[in-house]
Amino acid sequence: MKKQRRFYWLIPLLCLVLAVLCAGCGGAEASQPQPTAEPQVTHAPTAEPSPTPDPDALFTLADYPRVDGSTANLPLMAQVMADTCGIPLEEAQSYVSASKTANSWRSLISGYADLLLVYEMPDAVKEEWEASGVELEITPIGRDALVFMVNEQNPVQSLTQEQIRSIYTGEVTNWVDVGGEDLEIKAFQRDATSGSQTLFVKLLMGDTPTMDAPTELRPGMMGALVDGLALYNNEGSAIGYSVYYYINEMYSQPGLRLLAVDGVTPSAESIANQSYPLLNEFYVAIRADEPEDSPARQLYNWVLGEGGRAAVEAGGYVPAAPLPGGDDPAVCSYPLK
Amino acid sequence: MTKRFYTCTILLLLILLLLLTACGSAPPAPSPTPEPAGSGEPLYLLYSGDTWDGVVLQGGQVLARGDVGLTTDAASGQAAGYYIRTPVQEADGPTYHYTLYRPDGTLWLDCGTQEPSQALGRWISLSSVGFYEATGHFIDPDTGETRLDSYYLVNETAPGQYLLASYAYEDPAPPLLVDEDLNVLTEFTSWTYAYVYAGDPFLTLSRSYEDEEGYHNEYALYDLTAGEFLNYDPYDSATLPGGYLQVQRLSDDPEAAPRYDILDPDGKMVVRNTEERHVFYTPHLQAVENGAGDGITLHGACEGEVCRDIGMLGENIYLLFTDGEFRLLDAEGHELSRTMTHPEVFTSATDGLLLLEWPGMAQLWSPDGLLWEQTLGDEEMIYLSQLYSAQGADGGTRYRLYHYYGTFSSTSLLDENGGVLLDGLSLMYTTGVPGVYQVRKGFERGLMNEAGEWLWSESIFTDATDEIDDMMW
Repeated sequence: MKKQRRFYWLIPLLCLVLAVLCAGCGGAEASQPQPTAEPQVTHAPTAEPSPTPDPDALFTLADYPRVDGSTANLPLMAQVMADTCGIPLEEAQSYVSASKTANSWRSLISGYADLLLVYEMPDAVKEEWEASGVELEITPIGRDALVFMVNEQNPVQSLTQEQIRSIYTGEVTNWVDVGGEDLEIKAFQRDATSGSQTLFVKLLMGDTPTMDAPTELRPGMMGALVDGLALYNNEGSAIGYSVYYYINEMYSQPGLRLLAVDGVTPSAESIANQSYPLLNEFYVAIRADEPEDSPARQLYNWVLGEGGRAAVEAGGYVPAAPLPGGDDPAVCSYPLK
Repeated sequence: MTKRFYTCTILLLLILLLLLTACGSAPPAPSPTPEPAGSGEPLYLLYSGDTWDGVVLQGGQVLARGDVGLTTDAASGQAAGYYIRTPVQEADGPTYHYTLYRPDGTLWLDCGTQEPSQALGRWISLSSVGFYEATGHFIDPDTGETRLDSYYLVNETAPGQYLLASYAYEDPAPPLLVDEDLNVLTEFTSWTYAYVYAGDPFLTLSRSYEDEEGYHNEYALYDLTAGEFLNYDPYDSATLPGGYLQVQRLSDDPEAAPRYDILDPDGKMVVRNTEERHVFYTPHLQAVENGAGDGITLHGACEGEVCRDIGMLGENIYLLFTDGEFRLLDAEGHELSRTMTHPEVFTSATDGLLLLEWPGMAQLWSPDGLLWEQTLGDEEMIYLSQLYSAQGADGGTRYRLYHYYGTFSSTSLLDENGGVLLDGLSLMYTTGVPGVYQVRKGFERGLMNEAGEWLWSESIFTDATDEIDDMMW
């Protein structure tokens, strides 16, 4: 009997010890240091093995013409290459490059490029072109818009073209004069040879002289422009400009808002139906003396056909001309001379 | 059953109930403060494709963006910190101000107008190099102690040993060998300049002087292992394929024909005082340059044959003849394969892979034989290079294959067996971290590992100059 008593009391004692140990383990797990967060690893799309060249493709990579153009046309260049060479879009995106608007026009004129997908030719390059005597064939293929950006905290939603001109001549220096808050306007400008600046002068300022801007208000990079636009405090609030496709498709950043101009908000629809007032085409261009059977001429003809229009739309651009039977108004050809 | 039995049973059941709920209900202890994201991770410097501005990254976080650089520690080969450069106007004209930061973002050193080009243990090497003057010194940012005015770090000569040379344009101080704490081990008195490639057993010294006979330049070769000067001309000494060193004897007679010694990788002389200039040397096969560039004569395994090119391919040897015959031999000179290519064939040779290319065709060879061949269009070219400054994630050798299509190009990363690890890249740079590369693929750029995973990426349009055309690029 005594042995049974000692046995009986030992079991619950052992169980109690186990229970205490168990509770300690549950707590110890929680007290172990949390692992340092692993850096985010994004899995790139699995690279497809290099596909067998498409026998129906218009070009091989080796005979593709030298295509150049504006930064904002890089996605279109990639789409055109992918469609005409029969390669994946990401592969084409790796191949394309742009000398930017002014230098690409120069490259075409001097023979270092075969075909351009490009925005408006800057005035300084027009003079060089006229002096060169080189004939070019230039056709609009898409439409873009000059857009103005402000900080999203800025209560101003829309400006008239006259108000914007007044800001950039220096006549208006405070947002309160255009329906906003009592803050100084910091009006960012672009370099004289940039595509955006060319449109700014052509579509808005014309012969009206623009005020001189200090260096810090002439950023070389979009990042600096966006940083300036992010400013909204007692020091002032900025306004800047670029092209719609670039801001909407290529470099969208939080904290920015596009202004309506003359009451019309820039959008793919308002650009397509031309209700937004500050529009301009972008172009495909080759030298006029390209033979009929040259790769440049073949690509030029393809861009102007249904394949090219599909590429423009696939790239997120607004086509310049409607397909037969379409509802878009006809685009007017741009005389560069 | 006794009363005690029932009591114990009830207690047992209660304790069992406690056991079942204990592990699940214990409140978690407060977590310790998590480590800052990326701490201890290497620093990376990525350059924008559009401008010369850069991005400093650590652990997937952007530490700085703009005109930035890394300060690399010569001992570890890793970045010790990063600096930001800002333009300033001084009395003498425009210049730059440098601020050095630790990887955790705290200020490490205000460097003024001197660039923190390198770190060495606790020391930072500061330098300012101009057209007419160059200055520099080492500083301990934590104590402010400075040493060795006008010196800069040339290279590591051996583990824990470093070569320093003087910046001064006039009356430069003699080159020095120092340890990691800048204690002078050797001073090359009366010499003014020294250089060594990382890993080389010899360093080159030079000095200039003027006397009544005119202006003179003198050179010397110094054996770092033996600690003594060698009587060889450093500017006609070369490491031959196979790891042997051919050195030219110095002579007082400028009209005398050059004479050479060949040293094995241990520094032992295997060929003494010969007029023959070798382009290749192994114990079983040697190659001597013919006069007037008229081919290479083979000795040993292929005695008397004249070839166009010879080199090592891994442990094997390759030969290329004028008619396009390509031959692969083992290290003892026994033939492994013989293939006809093309009389216009040219090579991109590395330690472990060899690219043969001629109009319309390219072949990639490994020591084991042909890996692949590919037809090429009229404007197409392929180029192979070895990434000497990079290691694979597995510590293996890596190669870059550059495919040029005439108007654009593509880059691939190959492993030591010629296998494709990364493909379809616009750009690829090594980062100094094994298995991690700065790449552009599609419209993204950033850091990628050898599995093709982005460790960090951003759109190439993030800091695009958006139509600014006033740059050469």
